Amino acid sequence: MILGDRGSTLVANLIDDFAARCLPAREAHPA
Amino acid sequence: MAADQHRAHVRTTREAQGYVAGDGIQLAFGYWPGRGSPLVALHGLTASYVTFVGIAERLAGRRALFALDLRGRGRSDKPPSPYGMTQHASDVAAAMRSMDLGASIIIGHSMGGFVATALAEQAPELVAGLVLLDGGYAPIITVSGSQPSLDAALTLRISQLRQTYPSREAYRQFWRAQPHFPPEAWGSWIEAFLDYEIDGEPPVLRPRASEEGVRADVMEGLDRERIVARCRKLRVPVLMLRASAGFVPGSPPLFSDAMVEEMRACIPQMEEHLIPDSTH
Repeated sequence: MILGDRGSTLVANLIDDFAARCLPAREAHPA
Repeated sequence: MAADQHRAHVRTTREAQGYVAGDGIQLAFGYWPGRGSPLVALHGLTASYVTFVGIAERLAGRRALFALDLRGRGRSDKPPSPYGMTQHASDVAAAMRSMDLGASIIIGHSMGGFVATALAEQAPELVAGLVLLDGGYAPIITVSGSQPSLDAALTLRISQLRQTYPSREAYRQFWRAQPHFPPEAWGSWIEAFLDYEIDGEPPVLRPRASEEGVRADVMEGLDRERIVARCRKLRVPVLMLRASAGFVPGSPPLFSDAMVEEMRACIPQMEEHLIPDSTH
């Protein structure tokens, strides 16, 4: 997908939110 | 050698590239660091893992991202056969197991969405959720004549795989002259993607993707019944993000409102968003 800067930010935010709902609580430390 | 001795845990704090075992072949990958277990990203028909550079940078460390070059693409091995979504899914499953990844969010762009649904069918223990980026549902790839713009785009892409270019700059200019990349979208992400896409030394550079592999995958892409059946079996959360336009700005989206409703009938749990000012 050609998203540009704003589209990439929107998609990244939607994916991050989706992952937060699907995955167990993430580790408290950087991977 | 025991399988565990091949395991390479994805736990690094810097961007990395490397190779990982697929199903009997080597797959190239890119990794962007972040918190938690990595998201796994699968590119489209003729693309490479670099297609995800913009999303990876905008995740900005919130999530790690592990993106593969599918077989026949990028720097991955290019066997003469087999190809197809089931084979790609076997490669992804093998790579995820090599990296000791458990149930993960699988992101699939275009054909990568077909691979993602095939993976969910084949190895459900590796899939916690699917993100479909303008893909994953038929008829994204159609028989000749039913969607002229799509056929034209595929024809251009496949014929372009046979071309040679005198330099990376010439390759950039070829694409810059096409309507697919509007001037306002052109930038370092697109240049990184295009620079990775070709191989060789000046004055003979050619796209890395295997035409045989691409053709084999297009043929399987026509198997609408199988694609729909995979979607009907999905039991994990699904996020569908569709582009507001097709291959060029201003063209109709590949995923029309009607197609999204058809898709939702197969995947009732699907969440869907239209991404403004985007193309396939």
